[in-house]
Amino acid sequence: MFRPRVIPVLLLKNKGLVKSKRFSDYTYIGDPINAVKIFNDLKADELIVMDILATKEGRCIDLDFVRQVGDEANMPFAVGGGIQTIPQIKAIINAGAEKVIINSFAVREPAFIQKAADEFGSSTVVVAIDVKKKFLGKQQVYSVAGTKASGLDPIRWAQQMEANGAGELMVTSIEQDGMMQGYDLPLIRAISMAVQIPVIAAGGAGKLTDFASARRAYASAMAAGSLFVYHGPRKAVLVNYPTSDELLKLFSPS
Amino acid sequence: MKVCTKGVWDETIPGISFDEDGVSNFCNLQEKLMADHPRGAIGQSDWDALVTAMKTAGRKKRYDCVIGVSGGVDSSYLLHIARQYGLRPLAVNLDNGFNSEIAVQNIYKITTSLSVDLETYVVDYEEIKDLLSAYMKAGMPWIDTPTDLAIKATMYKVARAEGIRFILRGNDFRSEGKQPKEWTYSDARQLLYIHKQFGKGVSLRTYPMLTLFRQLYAGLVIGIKDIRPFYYLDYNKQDAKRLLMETYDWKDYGGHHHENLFTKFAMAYWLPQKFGIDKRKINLSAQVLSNALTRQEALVLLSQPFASPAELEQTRAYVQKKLSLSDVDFERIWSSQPKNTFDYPSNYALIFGLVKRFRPLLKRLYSYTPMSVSATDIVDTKRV
Repeated sequence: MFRPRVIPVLLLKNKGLVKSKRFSDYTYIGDPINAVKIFNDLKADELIVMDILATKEGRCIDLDFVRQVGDEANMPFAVGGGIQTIPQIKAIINAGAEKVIINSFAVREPAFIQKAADEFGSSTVVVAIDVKKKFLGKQQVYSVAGTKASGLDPIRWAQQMEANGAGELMVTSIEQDGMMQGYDLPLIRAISMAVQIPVIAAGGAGKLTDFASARRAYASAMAAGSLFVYHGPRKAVLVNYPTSDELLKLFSPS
Repeated sequence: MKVCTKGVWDETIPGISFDEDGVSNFCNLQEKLMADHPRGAIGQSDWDALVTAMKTAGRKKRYDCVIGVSGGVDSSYLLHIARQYGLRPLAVNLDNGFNSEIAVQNIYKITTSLSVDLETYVVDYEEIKDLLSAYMKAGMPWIDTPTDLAIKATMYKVARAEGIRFILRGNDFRSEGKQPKEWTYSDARQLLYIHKQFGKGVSLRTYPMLTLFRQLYAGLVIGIKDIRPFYYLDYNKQDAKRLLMETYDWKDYGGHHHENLFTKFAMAYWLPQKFGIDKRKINLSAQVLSNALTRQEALVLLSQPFASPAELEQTRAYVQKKLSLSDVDFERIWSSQPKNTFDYPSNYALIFGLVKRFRPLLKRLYSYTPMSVSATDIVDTKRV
């Protein structure tokens, strides 16, 4: 039976995993390889791994690291962090990732998405769109791990990326990130309705029913960080993932 | 090879001696421990008194005890017992980067279903990695010491931060026995020494350290008590497992402490293959003496491998990768001289000197004599 994909997002900072709140306030949550192994054993649909310092430090995510993730992950995984060239994408795919995620460089050079899609096919290229309201302003696209405002309108930007050949969009609300109070549903709905390609909702999932809400806002997949690494009132770090029965029930029509 | 006639302790165990009936000093120790810590009616009434003390101390607080959890059978069952007696424990897990999926799931299921709050302490993996590799390079038998010490330190840390006076542990000498100190003794002083000598200099910023001073302070000044409920209460691992599986959908993970992949490596690969140490001899002997097994059953279990060769190789490869040890690094470590606790400085002499001198005081504070003290009495006197 078909159901939307549910994807844990892991953020890499230096050699450790962190969890953010609103793209800052980073908490160390442990060793990435162990987390990948556990998500693999828990049979997560897919994984997303992003190196949040890569763009800022002017480098691409470490290939050895991608390979290590590949060793532990039997499910498809997507990798992001500082990607700027075709050979980098090639190397990442060769290291075992199924897709690459691009945000900052897409903003700097939108034509690169076209090039990447031509080279590897749309299904390999995911564009991440991080959205936040600028002080008193409208929602706009941010890059460099939420530190740089681009002035771009999220919906028009989503359409442009689709036109450039992106195979999938990962839409994250920076304000909701790590707050565990639900996704920015109007944003997810607006973008999902404006494009044909799949939209991954990200930023804010705090309980499983938030996935169902994102589904009703037409998201094709749901990503979550905090929900899958924190447990209980004291936010204990404990990797968890719903069983396939729970997910089926969650998305069943009744 | 001489084997104890009552248990399955044998000559591979340091400090072992046998009397004219072929009974080992470790057997005498086990019997003394059993006499010192009776179960049944006496154990039950001691435990009931402790429960009352915990509830009284925790009356105005959110929690009345701290329980370290690993996802293994002992600590999972301890949470179950604690709730049964109406205690409000705070569960604490130390994350050293080697928790298995089964362990994590077990902790999740049991804390959720018993409504027990969980606190985790995540040690920066680069620190743990440097410590574990250092212990391997030092040729220490029990290379999981950095984890053990961190677990203990974390429980004290959390207890102090939350104002909780009681720490409950799932140890049970009736199913585990007493390991010879050459294999397992360690302390913060020794850890720092080994890290300095054999580590790569990663600074220990997040690694929780329970120095001798801090431990004495916590015990003597703050009055934190360290309690092992299974010393008092009837506890049978097999029955406990069954109950956990039926009640909480808890999962079995195979061998003793295999819930953590590094511990599994230490227990099933490192110790037997590099040192010829089989810790099961201690565990199984204890179980024989407490009538959980027959001696014959224990001997049969001992003749079986820890896990299949393929599984052991897989565990080794995973640990090697996680510690970033190349084949050359690992080969060098593997062929290095085996050492033990007494090859490196520690506070052993100091602690046991203190403990012996202040035994009456300790007895009043902890309501029992720490097990290691009775152990030194028997094992050390026989050796001299």
